[in-house]
Amino acid sequence: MNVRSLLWLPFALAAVGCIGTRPEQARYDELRRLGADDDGDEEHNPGYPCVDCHGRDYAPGDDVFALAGTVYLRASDPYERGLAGAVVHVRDAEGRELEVVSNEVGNFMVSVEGGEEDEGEGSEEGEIEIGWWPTYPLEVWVTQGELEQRMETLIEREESCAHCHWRDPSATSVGRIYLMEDGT
Amino acid sequence: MRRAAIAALLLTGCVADQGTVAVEPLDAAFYAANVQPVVGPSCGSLDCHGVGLRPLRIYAEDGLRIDDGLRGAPISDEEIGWNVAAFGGVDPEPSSADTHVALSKPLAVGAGGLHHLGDPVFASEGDPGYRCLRGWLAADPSALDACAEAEAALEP
Repeated sequence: MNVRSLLWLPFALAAVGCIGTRPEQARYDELRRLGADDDGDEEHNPGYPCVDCHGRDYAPGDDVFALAGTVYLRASDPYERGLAGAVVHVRDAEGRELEVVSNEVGNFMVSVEGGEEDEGEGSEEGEIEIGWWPTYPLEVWVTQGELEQRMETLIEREESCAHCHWRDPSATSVGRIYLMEDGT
Repeated sequence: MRRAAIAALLLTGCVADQGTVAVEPLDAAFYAANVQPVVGPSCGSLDCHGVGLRPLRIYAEDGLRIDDGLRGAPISDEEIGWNVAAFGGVDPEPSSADTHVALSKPLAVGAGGLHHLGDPVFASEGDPGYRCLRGWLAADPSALDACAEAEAALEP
């Protein structure tokens, strides 16, 4: 093999996909490194950015969600223990509303099926199917009984709540989605 | 002869743009008091320009912070300074405030704007937010009213 033939090697490898990792794959690898599992039930990975693995463009988790996240009772609750039975209310830019009830670990998921518009009924598993893709920005509020927390800003484009609500508050996160302030 | 040619070009508008407004040195104090309250909530969320690698990265109280310890605190002078620098950096040599990319990107395509991944923010040049941002870029004091109007429109 002469030197000239070696010059073609990187192009040949790139052509068969051996060079580089897609950003989505890199993100998936990072979540696995942080402890995310892929057992597939509705109660796995509370607090993780769901749509990183359940997105329209990249879905190693099979199910595709239009919006998904985890609700907690308090801002400092353990990230793996969310609040069951919280109602997540969403109103999109076209005024359409949906409600979804969080499951045993606080997870909720909104997926889209074709067909007639579904007004949205929460389920015990934390899932709901609607007949339309939400139009951003989204207005969101969470209730349970008499408790209510309204999101102060709108969701402009992100489908994973944990993208902005990743665990403890930091420079890049506003902290968990919660219903009650700590100490109340 | 040469002087006469240059003078003739100037007179016929071939050298200097007519009807455009120059971008003045960006006033950080005006930005902090009037523009940040509009730009922060409407552009600087963590899923839009509150991302470190995005062009025109914007720090905001409820968005990206420059330090973990600033979460929950008012916007800092340092963050304001970097935001002003980001506006300058996104269009380093603007020919006019009206064509500044920070104005044309969020403006609807139908109104003369450019494609914006986050959808149009301003439907027209009459939008208070547009007039606020343009006024700051052009050092136009009349932007004050537009900024106040835009900020009021953001109230829940």
